[in-house]
Amino acid sequence: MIITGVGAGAFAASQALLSDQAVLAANTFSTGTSDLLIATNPVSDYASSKAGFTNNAMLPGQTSAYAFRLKNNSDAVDFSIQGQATINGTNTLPADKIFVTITPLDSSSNPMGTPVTHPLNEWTSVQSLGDLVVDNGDIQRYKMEVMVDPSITESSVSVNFDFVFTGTQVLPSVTPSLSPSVTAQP
Amino acid sequence: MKNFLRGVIVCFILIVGFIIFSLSHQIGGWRAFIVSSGSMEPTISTGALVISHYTHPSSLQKNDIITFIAPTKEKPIVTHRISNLSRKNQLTTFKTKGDNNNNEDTWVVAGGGVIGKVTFSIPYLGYFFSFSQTKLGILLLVLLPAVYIIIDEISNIVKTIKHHHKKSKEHKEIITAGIAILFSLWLFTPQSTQALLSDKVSLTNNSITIAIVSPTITQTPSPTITPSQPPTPTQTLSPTPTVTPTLTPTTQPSCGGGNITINVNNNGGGSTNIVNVTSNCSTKINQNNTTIIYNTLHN
Repeated sequence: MIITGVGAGAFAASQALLSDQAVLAANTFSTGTSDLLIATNPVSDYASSKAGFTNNAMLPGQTSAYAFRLKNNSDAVDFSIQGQATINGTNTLPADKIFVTITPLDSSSNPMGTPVTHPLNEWTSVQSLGDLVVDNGDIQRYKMEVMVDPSITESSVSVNFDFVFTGTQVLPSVTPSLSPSVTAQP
Repeated sequence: MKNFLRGVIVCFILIVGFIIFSLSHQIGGWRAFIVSSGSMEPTISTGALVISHYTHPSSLQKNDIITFIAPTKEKPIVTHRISNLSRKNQLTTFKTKGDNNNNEDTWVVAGGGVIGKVTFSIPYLGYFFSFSQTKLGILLLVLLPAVYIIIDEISNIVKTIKHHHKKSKEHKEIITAGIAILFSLWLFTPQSTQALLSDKVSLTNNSITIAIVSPTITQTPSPTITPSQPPTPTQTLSPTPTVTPTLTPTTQPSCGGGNITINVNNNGGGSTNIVNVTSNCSTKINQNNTTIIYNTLHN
C-alpha cells in the first residue's frame, strides 16, 4: 500500500512535470529600499522634487528642450520609469496642443532608446518611458522637449503643470533550478 | 489511550494534508502565495506566506490587503493595500499602495483583476516552500524519505516472508503519513506574489505662455535706395514747334533693389528673441543659432 501510495504520488508528480504547468523553481526574493531622486540644474543637486521650467515667450511651432537626470538611490532595487503630468489650475493653452517628448540620453547626452511623445492631455494618464531599466545606484539622463502646435494663434495663453516620474521595482528573472523548465500555472 | 493519541495524530495529518491540497488547487476560493519582495513591510515581510480568499470586488473596502494581477505588460501578481476605490455603474476599481512605499501604485486595478483578499500571513514560511522547490530541497524532503519508505517496506516484506514477523504498525503509519505530508509539500507549488517597491519624484510648476509680439530691433539700412529716373530727354527742334517732355520718374523702390540689415541683440543663453518683419517683399532671414523661427510668408 505504501509503495503504491508513493508510486501514485510520484506518478502524479511526473504528470505535473510533463503536462501541467507549474513553477518548479526557487522563488527569487528581493529585499531593499526604494529611493528615486531628480536633478535639473545643477546636475549634482538631487532631490525628490525640483522646480520645473518656465517659458513665458513660447511661439507656436517652437520646440524647447530641458534636461534632467533621475538617480536610482535605492538599495538593491532596479526601477522601470513611468511619467505622468498633472495640470495645475485652469489652462488657457489647450493641453492637446502641447506635445511633450521625453528621450533618454547616454552619458554623452546623445539620444538612446525610444523617445516617448504624447500630447500633454495624454500625459495626465500614466505613461511608460519604455523598457529602459535604471539599475540601483545608476543615474539616467533625460531630455524633455516641449512643442507648441503651430495652429495656436492666441497670445498670452498659458498652461502650468507638474510632471511626476515614478520608479517601480523590477524584479530579477527567476532561474529555474529543475529541467525541463516550465511556466507558472495561472 | 495510545489508540486515541494515534487517532488524533492521524486526523491532524489528514487535515494538514487537505489544507495543503486545497491551497494548491484553489478549493473554496483559498490560495496561498509567497511574498517575494518588501513593499508591504512591516505588515507582511519578505518571504512570508500569505493566504488569500476570493472576495467579490463590491465587498472590498479601503485598507484591505488584496492579491491581484497588476495591469502592466508583465502582469505580475502583486499584494498591496487598497488606498482608494471607486464604484461606478456597478464596476469597482482600486488604487493600491504598498505599506513601505511613499506613493500609490501607478496603475488602477479593475475588480476582475483581484484574486483575493489577504486573510493572514505566516512569516518566513515562504522561504521553506521556496527551498522545497530547489534541488537540495527535493532531495531532502522527497527523494530521501521516499527511498527510506521503499527500503523499509521491502525489508518488512522480506522479514514477513522469512519469519512471519509482525512489526508495530502504529509507528510505521505515523512515519509514512509524515513523509506523505512532506511529499505533498513538494507538490504544493504556491505562486510568488510581488510586493513591488516604488518611489516618485516631481518637476513642479512647469509653465508655458505664448508670447505677446513686441520686438526690440536695431535697424541699420544700407545702402541708401535711390529711385531710378529716366534721363532728361533732349530734342532738336526743327523747324518751329516746341515740345515740353514729360518726366515720369520712379519714386518707389522696387523689390530686390536693396538690403535691410536687422541686428537683434541676444539676451543671453536660453532667452527667446522676437523679430517682427512686415514687408511686401520676399524676406530672407539668416540665423546662426538653433532657435526655430516662426515665419509667415506674405508674398
